[in-house]
Amino acid sequence: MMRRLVWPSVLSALVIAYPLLFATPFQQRLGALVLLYAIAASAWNIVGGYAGQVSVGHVVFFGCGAYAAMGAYAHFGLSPMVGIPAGIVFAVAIAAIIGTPTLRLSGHYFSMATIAVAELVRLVVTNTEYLGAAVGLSGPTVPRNIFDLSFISALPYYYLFLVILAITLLITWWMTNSRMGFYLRAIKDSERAARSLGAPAARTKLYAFMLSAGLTAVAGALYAMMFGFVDPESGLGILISVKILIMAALGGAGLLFGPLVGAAILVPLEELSNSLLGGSGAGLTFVVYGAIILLIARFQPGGLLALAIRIRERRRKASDAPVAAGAGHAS
Amino acid sequence: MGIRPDSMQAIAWAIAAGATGLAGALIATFFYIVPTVGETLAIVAFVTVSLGGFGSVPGALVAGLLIGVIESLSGYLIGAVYKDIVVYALFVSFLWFRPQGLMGKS
Repeated sequence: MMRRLVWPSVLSALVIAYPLLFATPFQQRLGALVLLYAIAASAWNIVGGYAGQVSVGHVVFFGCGAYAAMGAYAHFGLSPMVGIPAGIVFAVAIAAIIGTPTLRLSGHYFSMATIAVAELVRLVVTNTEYLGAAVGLSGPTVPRNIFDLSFISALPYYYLFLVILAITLLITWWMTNSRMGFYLRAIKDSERAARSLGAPAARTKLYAFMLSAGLTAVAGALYAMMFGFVDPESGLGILISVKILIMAALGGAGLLFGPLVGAAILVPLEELSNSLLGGSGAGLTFVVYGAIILLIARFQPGGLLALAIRIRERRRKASDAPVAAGAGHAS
Repeated sequence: MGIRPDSMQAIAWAIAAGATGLAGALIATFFYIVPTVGETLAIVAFVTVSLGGFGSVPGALVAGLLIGVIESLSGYLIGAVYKDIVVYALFVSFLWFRPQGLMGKS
């Protein structure tokens, strides 16, 4: 029992102490970004991993949060935080519009609809003057008070994101252990079987999608607050959807900590390649992403965490045999 | 049955890639070509196939014609910036009435 708690407590202590151990602005910013993308990828994981419905347009929810937060400041002079609930409402409404018709069907319809809506929203926003059109919206240049959540150092963001990530993971964990998680597992195994046993498949998938959308909107709002602005490319670009999806898939879709592992690998990779290669290297990240998609799809569809779990179980099985034989001696 | 799924899938994939390449070559005669030209076109192609219904050849044909006409007309009547918006919006609202597409099986 004690031994089982050692690794988790060491890891969480490391996560909490990280910005103090690695105190340069670059390292702190990197840590905050990892957590931010981990929030978005964990939110994607609810619908993409647990419900098995691959959303390729998740950036639209991210954008809802980001634009709502910046809009609250730019148009009403309020703290960007005030925009978060509005962003969540928009995101959940869009999720309902996409999900209600398409989640009744199985197959690719859902993925296609998410891409189409994400592009639709991006184009509409790019042509809407109220939302800053192609230039985007900016947050407060100078923080008026602490509620603007506009800090120069990345340290406060790190702990803010850590708390939100913990809440996101807690919600996910709670969901998997509730009746809804039970339904989702049944649907993922065989939707037809689950339906015939009376599980409300379409409704459960829709709820998972709406929950995921709301949490992604929070991630988007946090992103906009940290960077102080949002434009159609950074808030609604299709590449962000791809990033979120790949992080969850690389770490392990459908596993609680999978997205966090994926973000902890990919975000440093991207930031390092950007800082080492400068502007000319920005495209290289996406070459790496493409290679990662190919490798995961070919060799490890469950993600890295699934691989790690499998190796650990194999090792435990191997070590269990002699332990059982010598059980008389031990303890 | 003697059918090798791997090679059949590879052949289907190759035919799809070849046909798309042909479409790309044809569009190059009257379209502005940039490295990312395929992005929007690929999304429109996805929309077309979902609109026609997955796995339905006549569906894809009809949907392709429909989307082409709608896009050109809305570009002419409403404005060039809005032509993709009109297509996506019509597609999303169409999904509410017939989510499996024009000729698809649910």
